[in-house]
Amino acid sequence: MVMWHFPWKYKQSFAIAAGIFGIGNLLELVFPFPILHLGYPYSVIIGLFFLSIPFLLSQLFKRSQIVKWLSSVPAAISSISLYVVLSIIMGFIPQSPTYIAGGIDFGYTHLLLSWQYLFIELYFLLTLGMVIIRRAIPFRAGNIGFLLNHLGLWIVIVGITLGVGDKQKIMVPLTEHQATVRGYNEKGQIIPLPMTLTLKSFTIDDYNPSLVIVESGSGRVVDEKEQSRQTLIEQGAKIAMNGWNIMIKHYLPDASFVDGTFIPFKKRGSVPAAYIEASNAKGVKSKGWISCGNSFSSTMLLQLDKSYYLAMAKPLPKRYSSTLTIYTKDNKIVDTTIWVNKPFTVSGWKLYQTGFDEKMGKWSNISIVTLVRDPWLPVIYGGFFMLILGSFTLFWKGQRNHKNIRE
Amino acid sequence: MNWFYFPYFYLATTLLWVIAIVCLFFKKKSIPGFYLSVAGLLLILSFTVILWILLDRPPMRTLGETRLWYSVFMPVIGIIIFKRWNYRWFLQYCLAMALVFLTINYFETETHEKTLMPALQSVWFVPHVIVYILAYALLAASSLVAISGLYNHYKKRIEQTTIVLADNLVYIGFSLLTLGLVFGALWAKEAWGDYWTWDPKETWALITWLAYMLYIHFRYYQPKSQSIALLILAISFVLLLVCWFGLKYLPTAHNSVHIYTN
Repeated sequence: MVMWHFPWKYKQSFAIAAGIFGIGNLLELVFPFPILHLGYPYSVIIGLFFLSIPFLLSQLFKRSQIVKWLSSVPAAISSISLYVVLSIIMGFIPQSPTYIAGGIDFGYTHLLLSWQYLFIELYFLLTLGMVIIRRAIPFRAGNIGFLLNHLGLWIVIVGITLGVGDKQKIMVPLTEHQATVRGYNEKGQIIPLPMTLTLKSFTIDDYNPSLVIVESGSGRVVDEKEQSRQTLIEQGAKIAMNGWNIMIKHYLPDASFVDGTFIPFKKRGSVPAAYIEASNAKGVKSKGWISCGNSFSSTMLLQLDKSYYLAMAKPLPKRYSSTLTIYTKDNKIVDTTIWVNKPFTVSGWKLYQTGFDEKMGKWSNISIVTLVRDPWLPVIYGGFFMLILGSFTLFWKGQRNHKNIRE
Repeated sequence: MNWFYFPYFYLATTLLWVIAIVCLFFKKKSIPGFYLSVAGLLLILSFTVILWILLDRPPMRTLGETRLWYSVFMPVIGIIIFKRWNYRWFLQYCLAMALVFLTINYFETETHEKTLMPALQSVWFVPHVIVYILAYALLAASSLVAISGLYNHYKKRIEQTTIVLADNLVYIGFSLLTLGLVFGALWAKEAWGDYWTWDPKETWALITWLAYMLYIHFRYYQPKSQSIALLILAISFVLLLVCWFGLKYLPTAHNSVHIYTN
């Protein structure tokens, strides 16, 4: 066949990419099989294999046209294009988190576990690996930017892919003042914890609730567009809203309704409340309590006039945090507080604040914490670091890298 | 008062930029045009800073707020490119785009909340959003260059400088996209324990990133075939738009952590 004469360019590269994709589809149709993520030591062996293949190929078959082609730009472009095609499929078809047997959908509902994805990733890593070796040996300082970008990406992809097999994730529902030694993995199986956890306290800090005007009858919240701002209720605030002058005489973040009035009450079941005095230019006046209510007490509105009521919107959470005592296997006792975006690291595990009993809200005595062990983290962070440095070199050198400029 | 003063800033900026655009049609008037652009930029920048201070949180949460940033960055890019290459049409385009975004904000003010949900309270929030908005602004500009280049190609006019400009915009835009992706991954790890969860926004951000990667590789290998390169650039921008605006219309959109609601 004339087409397969060397050197291979775009036509051959895209034919090979299409072939890889086609075989993947076919395999998924006749031999559907969830691609497994193997843990240590297999992950390390596969990693070394990935590492050595491009090196060996390029050293042993230096003169081979196929080896030359694998490190060429057309091969790279075909593999990137294939990755784009696969990602677009994933971008349009909702992906199922679990494996569904049966090959009629060509694996398109769980592409990450499909043959196509495996093949494409291997092809991508191979072309990327080959070009890295070509530019790295012999080493030249001018190639540093290139290597940071390409090797960084290669490390990130390999690290994340192989890391899946070694990553452990345990969801732990904790009840206040109880020692917990078990949790659940992602399959819902019970797993013993690598440490003992005690939830000392769980706290939700809310933002102040906001003040809204409600249309009587329809119950429609007068669009905040008309106000183009959000008014948070604060003690002593004077607010002008829809022609009304509103004064917040008292604001009680935790209150209870007793004998027709709200009193401070800092216990389970409390609700925010505010005492309002409102008046408009026509001399209409209105005053009284408003409250957003919760599952223990009802909502309270203040009538302004025939058409409008003043109401309090439910406060939005600012932070939810768990104060924990951790007893590690090596007999350390650590106290810490975690919240979203502030995990805590102890003996190779990272503890994340994940959830709470949403029905109880602020008064939840249950906190859900996730324990994650990710031994490939330093590898992936190394790759990220290289990509960050690499993107700076791209930023500075930019277009001057170009062949046509050099020529 | 948050967005209360916006109409004043909006009208003043619009006035300055419209005059600037008109001035830029004439070569001799391009210097005043340039200074008017800068003046408008300073105005809208000060509004953004005031908003940030009044909201007590970075104004980067709602689409309206990102539109505001977009209208700050577009003129910045236009002004720099004008200074460097003297493209009057490019500055005009950047000003016009910024005006479109400001106008949308003028007619469609969203709820401008002071509150910031726990997941967004992170040191990564500002860098992640800023690099993305800046990258999108640059890549939007590059797509315009692509369209103008394709038009010239169609008219059989060859302009080497067009594609050089496109290259520069893409290189900077692409490196910022890379930073945005990496910052996003680092943030996700810190918040949820996973770098990458194939959230639809992530998938489309990856698609966009790969598309611009294709452009860079194609340009590197075949600097002569400009029209294909420009076509890749135009298609890439369509993908970027899907990622930016189109996501919520896709069947994959539910459950995305990146679908913003009022």
